[in-house]
Amino acid sequence: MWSFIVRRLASGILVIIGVSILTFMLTVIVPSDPAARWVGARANAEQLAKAREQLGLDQPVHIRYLRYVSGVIHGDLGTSIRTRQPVMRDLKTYIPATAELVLAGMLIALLVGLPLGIWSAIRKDSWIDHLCRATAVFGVSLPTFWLAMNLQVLFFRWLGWLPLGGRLSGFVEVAGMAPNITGFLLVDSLLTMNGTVFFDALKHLALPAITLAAYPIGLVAKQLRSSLLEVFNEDYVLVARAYGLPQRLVTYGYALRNALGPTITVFALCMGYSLVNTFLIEAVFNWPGLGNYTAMAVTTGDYPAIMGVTLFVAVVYVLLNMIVDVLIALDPRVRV
Amino acid sequence: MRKTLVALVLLSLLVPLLSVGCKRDTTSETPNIFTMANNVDPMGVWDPSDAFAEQLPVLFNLYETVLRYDPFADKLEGVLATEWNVTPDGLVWTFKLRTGVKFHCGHDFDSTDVKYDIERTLERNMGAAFIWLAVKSAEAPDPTTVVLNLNYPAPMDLVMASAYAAFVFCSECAEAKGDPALADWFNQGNELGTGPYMMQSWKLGNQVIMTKFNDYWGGWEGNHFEKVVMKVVPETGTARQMLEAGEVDYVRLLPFEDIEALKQNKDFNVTATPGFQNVYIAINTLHEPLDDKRVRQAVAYTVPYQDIVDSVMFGYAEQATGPVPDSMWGHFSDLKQYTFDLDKARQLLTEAGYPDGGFTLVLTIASGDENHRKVAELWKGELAKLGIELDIRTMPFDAQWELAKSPDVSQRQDLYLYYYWPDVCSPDTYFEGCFVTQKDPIIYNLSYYSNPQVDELIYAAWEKAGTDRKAAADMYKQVQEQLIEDCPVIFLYDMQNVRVMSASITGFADNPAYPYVIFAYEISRQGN
Repeated sequence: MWSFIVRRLASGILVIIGVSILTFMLTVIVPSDPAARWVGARANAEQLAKAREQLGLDQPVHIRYLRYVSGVIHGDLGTSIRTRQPVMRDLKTYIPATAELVLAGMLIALLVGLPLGIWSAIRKDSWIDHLCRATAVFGVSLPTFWLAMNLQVLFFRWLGWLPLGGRLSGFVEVAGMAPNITGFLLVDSLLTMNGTVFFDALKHLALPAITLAAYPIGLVAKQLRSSLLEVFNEDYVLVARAYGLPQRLVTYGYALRNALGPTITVFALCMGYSLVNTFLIEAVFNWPGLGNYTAMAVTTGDYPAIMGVTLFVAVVYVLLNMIVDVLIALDPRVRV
Repeated sequence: MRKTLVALVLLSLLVPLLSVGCKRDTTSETPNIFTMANNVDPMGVWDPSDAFAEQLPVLFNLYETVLRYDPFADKLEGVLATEWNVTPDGLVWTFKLRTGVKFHCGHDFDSTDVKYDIERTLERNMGAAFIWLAVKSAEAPDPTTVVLNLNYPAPMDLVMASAYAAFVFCSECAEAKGDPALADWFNQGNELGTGPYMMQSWKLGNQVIMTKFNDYWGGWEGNHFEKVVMKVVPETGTARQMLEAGEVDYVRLLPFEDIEALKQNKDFNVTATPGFQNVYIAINTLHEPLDDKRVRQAVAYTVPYQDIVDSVMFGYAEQATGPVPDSMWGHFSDLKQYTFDLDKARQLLTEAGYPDGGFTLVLTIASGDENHRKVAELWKGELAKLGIELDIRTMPFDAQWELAKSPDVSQRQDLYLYYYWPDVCSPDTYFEGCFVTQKDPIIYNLSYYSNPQVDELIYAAWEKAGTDRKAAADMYKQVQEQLIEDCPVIFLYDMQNVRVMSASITGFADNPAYPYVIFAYEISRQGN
């Protein structure tokens, strides 16, 4: 087992290095002028030259890459050209917001998607099955921004139950009530026993998390359904049923744990994907997260920020996949 | 069955939990907070010497300039200065400063601050530092007097009222920190201003909260806001909903369709004031057949100006007369204007040897700008009638910029559609920015136009502007007549500043010299 983990780690590191080289090359090839961004569009020749030197743009590409790598090893991801802040600081600010959103959304996805998948597998071809499958298809095919806007209209405009956007209400922000320990508002407010902030943050998290959960719900439900149906066709399930074991025991005690493998894999991939693809949700709900930051970085040619985000996502993907692979490897039938 | 029941019970417990304490966010209905919504995050740069983009709405509440310009009255008013004058040769400017002004850090304001600020800005040479280039030296002979000695005459009063690079910040604190530590300190969201509001908190990319500065020299008598909040709301649909729900009082930018809808609502005021922002189409004077003046003029006659103003800009613009917008001094309404006249265009093209057109023009526009896209589409149809094909290339701004500066001239676009706006309130910013010979680097002269006589006139006019505004204006008129004749740029339209504000706010007067700035100190909420 340990050698397996070590091998996965090693290949993970290679993947990260490869991704970083590719992305760096892209930022060099795509037309943009970071020096002009840094100094302003009306810069004269002197200002531009000074900016180029400051940003290290006058160096050859491989030197720039190596400098970058040595910076990363020391924890310095460079300075964002757009925000003028260290990229590390930017990431520390934006990642918790998106991570909280993604975790909440994924939790909802599991809480809804798993039962959906199980029920439709158990009651195959019944009306429950059709309802669940329809829900799954909708979840996967509804455009995110469309869903987001409609939820806003329904829950904010018509019902007035939930807020329009942002992470906290204006009065909470202006009064400076929000604690900032981990950056996860729910966690921080629990740690400081601040009920107002906790419920305010929860209310604000609801709609974006539901919007985010739509796609993974569909994914999880469909995947679990088809895995379960496959398992139900296995001989040992037939034997268990023949022995008269109750359906509940058969499903949860035996079938489910064998069916979860592919679902977990797909779920982990979806989670990694969501980390940077929440842009539309963040835009509509005014959520200050990584998606928004990445979109701005790409459109302004902010290459340190692009590299920073790419590295972060690559690391997350590698870790997630490693965790999933290890979990699956726990199954004695899987050969490591 | 039992499982379903359990699930239903759990769900029904969840609903009241969510609706507990659910009320509309009414921050801005709280009387003393003014909330603005910006669609981009402006706060990339906090350094008052460097800031050169959209940081103004925040910075102009934290900082002040020595003078302020009212373009409609064409008058300067003293903010941190009470009097000022210039010697007849235009080379020495003296400013008498206001007393009793304090910085947020507690230090007193005096002439050494102004001297230090100008010197530091020039030394850093970032952003709009070039507005101070005329200054040879600055002196502070006594605490209330600043003297500027110039290399050549220049309108330093206008420069002191500039929207960029003219903020006054505390020199004692600044010197104590010293560059580069000072620049980093600023960019972490710190400030050293004298303005009516001071920084309370900054959530990167999300919002800035400013709070009342108790020792502000203007005092707090009367009805003033205690806090000013600037939120970043990238999605205009959400911003509009926030406005309608009372969560924000003002939205910086909304699509015209939304503005028209909100106009009908008596809870909102929509104001449209003439602005200084205009739109140009630069014609590549180096590319055939556009190197022939007649072809350029012909192309200028093909633009459906009125149609653009009416259907793209919803009437919130007017066709430009020359490169200087209507409300700026140096504008002349009697200059020749190209009209939409396909016959004239055909005649000119025939004279130039292209009776049936027969060539393609590449037009680049910045992606994401709906209005520009519509302009391009409208124009394409008209050009086609003359046998000219318009190849519209929508590109991200950076790519568009790179292409325009491409060292291989043949690669560059034929037509470049862009916005322009001033740094200092003077026509010079348009001329030096866009029409003076620029080889390396090319700044905004995207027609690559070069006319040495015009260059001379432009520089001479800027020097004259310090001492004899009228004479300078006449020189600018000559420049404009030449430019209209040579037609390196099509002057498309002057934009109006359209602002949507909650109707409960009074005292708001848009000042185009300070784009998108709301001086929160000067407005108040009714019913207080």
